[in-house]
Amino acid sequence: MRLFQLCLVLCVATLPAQTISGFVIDKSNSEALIGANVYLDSLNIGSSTNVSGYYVITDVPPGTYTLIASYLGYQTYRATLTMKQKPVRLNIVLEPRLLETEAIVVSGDSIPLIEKMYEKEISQVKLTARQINTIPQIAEADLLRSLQSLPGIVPLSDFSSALYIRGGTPDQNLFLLDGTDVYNPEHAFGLFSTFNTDAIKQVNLSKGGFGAEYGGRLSSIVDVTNLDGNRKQLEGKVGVSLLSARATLQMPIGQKGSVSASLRRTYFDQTVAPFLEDIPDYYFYDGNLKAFLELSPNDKLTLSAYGGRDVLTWEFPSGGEKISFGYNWGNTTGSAKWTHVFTPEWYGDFWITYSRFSSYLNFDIFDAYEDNLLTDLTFKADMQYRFSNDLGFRFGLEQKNFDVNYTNVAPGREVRTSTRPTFVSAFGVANWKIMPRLEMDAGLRFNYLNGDTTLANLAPRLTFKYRLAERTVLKLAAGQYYQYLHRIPRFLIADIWTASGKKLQESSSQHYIMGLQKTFSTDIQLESEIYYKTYNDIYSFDYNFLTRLDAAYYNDKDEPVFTSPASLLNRGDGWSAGFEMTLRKETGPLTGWLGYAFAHTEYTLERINANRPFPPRHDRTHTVNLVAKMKLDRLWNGDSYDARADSSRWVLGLNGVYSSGQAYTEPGSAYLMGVTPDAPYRDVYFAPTRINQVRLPYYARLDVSLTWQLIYKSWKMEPYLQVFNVGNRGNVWFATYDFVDGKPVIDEQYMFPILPTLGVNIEF
Amino acid sequence: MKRNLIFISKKKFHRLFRPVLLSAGVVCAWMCTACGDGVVQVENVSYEPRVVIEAYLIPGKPVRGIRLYRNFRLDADLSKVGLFVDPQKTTVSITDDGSGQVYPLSFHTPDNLLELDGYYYEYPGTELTIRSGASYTLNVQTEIDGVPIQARSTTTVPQTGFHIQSINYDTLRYRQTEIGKSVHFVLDIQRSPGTTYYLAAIHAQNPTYETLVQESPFGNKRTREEYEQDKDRLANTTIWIQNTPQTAGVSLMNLFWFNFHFYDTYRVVVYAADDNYRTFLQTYSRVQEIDGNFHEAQFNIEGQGIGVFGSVIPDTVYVTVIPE
Repeated sequence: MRLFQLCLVLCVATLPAQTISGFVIDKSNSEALIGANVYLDSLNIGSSTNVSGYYVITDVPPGTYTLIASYLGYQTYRATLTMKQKPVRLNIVLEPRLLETEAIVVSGDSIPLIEKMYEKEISQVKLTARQINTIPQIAEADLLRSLQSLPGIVPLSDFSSALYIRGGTPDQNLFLLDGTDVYNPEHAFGLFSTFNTDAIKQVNLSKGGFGAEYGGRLSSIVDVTNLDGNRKQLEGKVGVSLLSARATLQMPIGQKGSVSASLRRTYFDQTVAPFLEDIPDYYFYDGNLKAFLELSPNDKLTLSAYGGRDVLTWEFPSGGEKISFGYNWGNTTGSAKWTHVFTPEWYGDFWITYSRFSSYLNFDIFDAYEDNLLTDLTFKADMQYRFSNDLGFRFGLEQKNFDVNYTNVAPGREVRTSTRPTFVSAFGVANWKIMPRLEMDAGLRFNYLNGDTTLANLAPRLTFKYRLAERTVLKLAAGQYYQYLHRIPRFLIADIWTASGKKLQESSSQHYIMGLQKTFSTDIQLESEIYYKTYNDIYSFDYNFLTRLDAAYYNDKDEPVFTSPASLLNRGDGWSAGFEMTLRKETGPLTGWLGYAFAHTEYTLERINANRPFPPRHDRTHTVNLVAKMKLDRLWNGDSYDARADSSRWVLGLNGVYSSGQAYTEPGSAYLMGVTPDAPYRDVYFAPTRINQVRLPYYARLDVSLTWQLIYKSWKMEPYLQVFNVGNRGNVWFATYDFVDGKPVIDEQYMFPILPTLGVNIEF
Repeated sequence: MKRNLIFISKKKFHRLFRPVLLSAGVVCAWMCTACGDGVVQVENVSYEPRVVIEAYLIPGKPVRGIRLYRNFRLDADLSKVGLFVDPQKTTVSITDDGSGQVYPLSFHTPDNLLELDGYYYEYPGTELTIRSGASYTLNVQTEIDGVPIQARSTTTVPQTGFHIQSINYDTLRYRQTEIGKSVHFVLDIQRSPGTTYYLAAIHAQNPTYETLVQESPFGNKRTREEYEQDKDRLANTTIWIQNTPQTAGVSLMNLFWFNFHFYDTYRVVVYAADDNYRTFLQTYSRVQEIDGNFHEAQFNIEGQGIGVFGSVIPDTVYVTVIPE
């Protein structure tokens, strides 16, 4: 008998271990779920789903196990699996939970919250459309403005949705929409982003220390994945606010696919503008289209497109003649992604993406126009190989073909720049679980730019995760980052991009980050991180560029033609350091986060501040963010609340921000002089000498939203009231200085006052 | 279940009102900070005394009209601040860099002491003659706020050759059009070799409220009070062309309708400007960015000086703008 038992044990032990793999999808619409946790209970091994919802668990010895899959807001999935000598393919279908019982879900969830936090990369934030939509904003929900409510991310002003992440500038952020780079992702002069929140499935934001699979930017990654579309039934969402109307429709394509489409248009030009004088006609529209096709169990095809345009027309009536100013700009993107599962352990995504940003400005009174165009055609492959549960690899290749053209013609001069560089990169990442408590990601990225010169760099990345205690995780990351595109920022109108080459170095940065994550009770997370970043060869716009312009040649009217953007930029270096802390609660009647950030950034740029270091304008020392969503009915009724019995709910949203004053240049002194040799009068001018040496008054704002959710069968209607800056605080944007009758006058220019908005969202 | 506040249980009261009170407390605290208006105070942290130089050399002309002022704090009351540097504590000289000869300048006081334009430095002798293509260095030593101040700047006078060759019209109607297109004054500029920047200073000869153009598409009608405040700026405008070829030849200078604010005759003085004056003009008035922050102007002055020590070659034409 003993011999039999020994033989049995030996047989079992020598049977080849196998894999469990598959996709995790939402039962209600068959959408792939990104970041769902899947693991085997008794073996304590597991995996989380990638951007396509794919997971793989390897080295599963024969036997019977309980497989558990969980995802926030969904019922935990449990299945008993008997592993034999064959790999198991298991597509997991998760059923959405009623939101009202989320806290119960978590408390009964077999995967502790700390495991979910452990899986998350350092400095990473994941947001769903639902979370974005509950943050009160100007007029309506907006992705970039929602991201501004996270610690470590600050805006420059209310008038901009640009993100300044951990001291970096907006050009250092890579925006990906379904794998496609998006340049200048802003509508309405930067007030709103190009991302329609109704079309978003998930946003992965990395504030730093990102892996070798990402490159081309110094500071951050904003990776947006749009909805694939409902594969079960027609689903729609319609929204109307004072600013815009939008609609999103999702529907199945036969049994094997789905399609999702969104449209949005502002109608300020049709409603308010006709009643106001001296207001330009302005509107924007955009649309997303995404199709998902399951070609076979191992092959999936995703087609995604985005198109949007902002149109501004300003006519100055004067006598019988009209003087007009026209400006329009927008993005067009398209991508095709083929996902193929070669073997359960070997998974690959292959993309062809196209991104185009263009703007056109026409000012006929000056016979002036501007044409700004950037296109990016990219081929890329991203493969993942799971060798064992302790060792996995990710590797890929990317080729980007840029075409960057800028033309600006006005009386007296022309600007004509053009560059068509090719950028190739390859990366490899090894994920190694060194011991049960310690895991490492070691990556290397190779970059090669071929333009008017060739540039090549190696960028190593390293991340460690260590389980300090049962509910505490320590994470460390360090990495080298390169950027080969540079932005010439402009206020209100779209930025111009240019590429590294003979006259512009590639920018580089190093990140060093340490993070500590801890959970309290079942659903409260605390994340804290300290970071240090360096910047080398970064560029800022030179406001005194006129003194440095050199004509490349002269046109037939002997007017100068400029072809190099190098003289528009100041080169420099810098560093940022900071500490961030976030206390977050994602389930229950009260959800949201409280964030605090301490940050300091210094740049040293040629020709600025006499080459002395200075804090950039976006530098804010202390920032506190509060984002809260309160389900009032549930708070009122507690555990006795039954969503199915009550057909309406009240939701209160809060978005508060307090920031210490941003760096600001006080003009050092004033002086009086005549500026022509025959000047008949003298005027007052200002002579700034030290840049950003003072601070503006602190910034504080509280936004409130109140939503009434009315549910009838599968229909949901949500009328809402949002009040931006409910305290009507006058947050100083900047100040102007003057002397009137010899007396000094300072005039503060304030940002947005209190702005109430009404709207309604309808879902079916 | 009763929902009346009066009838809620103690347990429910605690469960309900703890988060509500906490939230209300947070909101109230936030509201306390998130209301009112931010106020910008002058901090004067970057104030440093500077000598302001307003000096232009013209070939063939005597050296005079060199004005030295002092800068002042942002919260200064100009009626109580002496704007000129103290001549008793100031020495000024010009060096002919070609010969190395130093020419000390003397302070000129006007007969009418209220005539502020009459206070300047000059070289009263006849030995110093400004030559085209030559370089001159201005040296200033003075004292401001008890602080010794030094400033030094060198100008290279533009080469000969510049003049206004021709102009297409001597009179135009305001915003005149021909065949649907705007017509404007066009000056043919004969360039000086090596000079790439030309400034036109446009001076209305008899500006009055009655002759003010009130139909500009860019501006609302001005009241007489507004006009009085802006009169100097409206009557004296400038426009430039830059980055012209380094070689001699002809460039076109357009004077557009928006350079003129009066139905009037204008004296248009075009200056061929040296590098110092060019960089000054390109930067002095653009120190506030469009989003409100400030940056430095570029003054080609070493030491503690701001302003300009430049050299120019002037030429003059007259044009007239009549009502539409």
